[in-house]
Amino acid sequence: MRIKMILLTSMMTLFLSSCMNIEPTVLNEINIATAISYDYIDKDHFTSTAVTPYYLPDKRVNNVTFTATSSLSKDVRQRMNQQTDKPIFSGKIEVVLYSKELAKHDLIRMTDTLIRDPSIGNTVYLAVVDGKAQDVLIKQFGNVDKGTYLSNAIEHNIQSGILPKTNLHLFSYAHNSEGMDPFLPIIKPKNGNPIITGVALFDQGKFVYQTKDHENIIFKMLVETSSNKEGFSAKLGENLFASVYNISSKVSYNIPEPMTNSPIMINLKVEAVLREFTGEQPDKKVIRTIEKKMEKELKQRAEKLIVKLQKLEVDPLGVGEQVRTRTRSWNKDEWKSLYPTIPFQVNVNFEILESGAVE
Amino acid sequence: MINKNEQISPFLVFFLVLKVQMGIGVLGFQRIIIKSAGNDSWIAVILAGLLFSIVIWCMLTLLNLHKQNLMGIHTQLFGKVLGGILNIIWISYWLFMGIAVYRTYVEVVQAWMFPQINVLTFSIVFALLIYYTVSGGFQVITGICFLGVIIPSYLILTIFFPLEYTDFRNLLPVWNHSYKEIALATKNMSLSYLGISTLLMYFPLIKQQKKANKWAQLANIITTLSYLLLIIVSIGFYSENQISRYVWATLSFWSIVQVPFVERFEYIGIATWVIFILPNICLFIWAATKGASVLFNVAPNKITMLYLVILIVVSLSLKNRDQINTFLNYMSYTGFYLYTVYIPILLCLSFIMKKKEVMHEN
Repeated sequence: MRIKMILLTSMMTLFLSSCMNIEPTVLNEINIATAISYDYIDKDHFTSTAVTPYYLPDKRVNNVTFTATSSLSKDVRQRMNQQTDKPIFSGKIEVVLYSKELAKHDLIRMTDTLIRDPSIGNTVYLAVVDGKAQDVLIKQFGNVDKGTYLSNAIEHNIQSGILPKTNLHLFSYAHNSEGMDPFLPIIKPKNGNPIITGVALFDQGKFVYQTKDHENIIFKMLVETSSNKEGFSAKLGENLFASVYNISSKVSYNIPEPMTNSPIMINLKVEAVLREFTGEQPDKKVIRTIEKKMEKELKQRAEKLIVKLQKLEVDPLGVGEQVRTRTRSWNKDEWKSLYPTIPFQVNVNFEILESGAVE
Repeated sequence: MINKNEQISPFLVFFLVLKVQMGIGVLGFQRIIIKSAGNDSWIAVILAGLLFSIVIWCMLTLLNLHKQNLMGIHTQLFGKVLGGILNIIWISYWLFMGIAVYRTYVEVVQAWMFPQINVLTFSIVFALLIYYTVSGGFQVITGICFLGVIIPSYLILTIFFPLEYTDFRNLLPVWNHSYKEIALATKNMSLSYLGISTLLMYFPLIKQQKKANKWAQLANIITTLSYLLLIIVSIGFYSENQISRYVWATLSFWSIVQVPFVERFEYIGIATWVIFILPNICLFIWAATKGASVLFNVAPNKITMLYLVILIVVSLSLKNRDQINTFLNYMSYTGFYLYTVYIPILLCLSFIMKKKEVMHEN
């Protein structure tokens, strides 16, 4: 009796598990898309391109792209599948690119599918392409998988370059929070080689502004407590330049009277190492003047940037969030009208820790 | 009267209570309470924990007064007919709680891993597992509860991954919601603590019953702390409107996890979750079986089989998110009133009855 039961149970378990209708997805029988791009056609339609790497026997990587046009991105997948012998899967997508044209209309509609689809991770990088998004994926370059290449490029620029932390989750976070607007990295294809040029700022879901070269570093400093291996330089006087690197910065807000148009103080504490100096031996006094100059330079850049953001009525720094968490009389609409009128004051405390290996 | 082989040590009550309190609710309780209490939701979590500490005290006082399980108390207080009806209500509550936990888990599997999974075959295999455990007796269930706490406990480490993206400033300003909102959130939160009523059935099986209170309270504290940790990280990690879009906010944490050896952590997490919810289902089915077998005088194994057939039929007939949600809501509200209204009333009644008895004797 007992043995019969055991046999019956194990047989049932064995056979039933195979009838669970779970689709096997064997690695070399599917196309693993690693990056996807979207380009604008008209109000309802877009072109989508997916890239999947093919690893050839001689260790080369061939990036194959599929392109289709539709109004819903899952329809696009259907059309792409019609072009290939193996089904395309989206589980390993690392980067999603949108053309600037598309971003100008509305990205929220486009990112909805990424959030809804549980097979796509929250750490996917989104980026805006200055030009045709397709170009970044279609042009063959180097011997690497496109998606991984782009994802690594963005990642190292977050860790030590000009980009603040960004991914799908943070984009959705900023878009959904009441006192903050999202931003994304912006990429420019140059002969098929993607170059990260700065940050694209959004008003809710609509692209409005692209940061310039000199704004990138200060933008990162203002957005988050960051460390930055790259440096920046400032002109101290006639033929006198100094440049610093290994910058670590910390931003904090001082809002004495939230939800009024009294000034908001932003304190920036920056520590760095002197990398290049065109003058004489930098002694204590010289270093102090360099610090002073740098403070002035950063303050100017920051205040200029903030005024620009106020004019655009976008708040990628999350000043609204800082105010919201400091007051009980938060009102989203009132803040929206208040934001452009508030005077900002940036206080920079710049400290040079080391002056390199020479004295 | 009670078989020595069925008895358990009092410290195992810790695992039984902890396990049954933390079930499927862990995956997505955040959305429901943040809807009403926003950044003050953590207060609601603590209040709900305190509320259940009182409920546990009520239950144990009641049980210590009568020295028998809920079925016995009902017949003693209300007689055979009325007591029998009340027993049937509780039995069906436990049975449907078991089904609710199971169906929610299947829904998670369908939404996150295998959308086209054949629910029937999956349910049959799962039912076999439940039958095996429940027919093994109470000690086997206690063992499963112990493993159900120990094995998935590594999942708590995944809480470190979202910390990179959390902004704890979101917790401020503290207490900017009204009492009414906090109370509503507390009520909604208490739905995640339900399940402890099975204690009413297994209480006579505990050795040294006086010590049970200590362990049950400790389990309640650990449950509260775990929920507190989750809600605080959730408030920091998501913005308020964002979390209202996620049905399973805890699962969405896992899609931020990046480890070198596995691309998508949810698959490991959801698979581990089987061990997390199996003891809950087994305990509910066991309580319902035990009650019915005493009430109708039928062999427990036959009743378990019948229950499992009901489980499969009901889980197949609940087709979409909407139906499941409605079902869960009904279960939650029934549970809430059973715990916070019915049990205190029962306690008062039994106090009065006892007093009458004492006066009668004098």
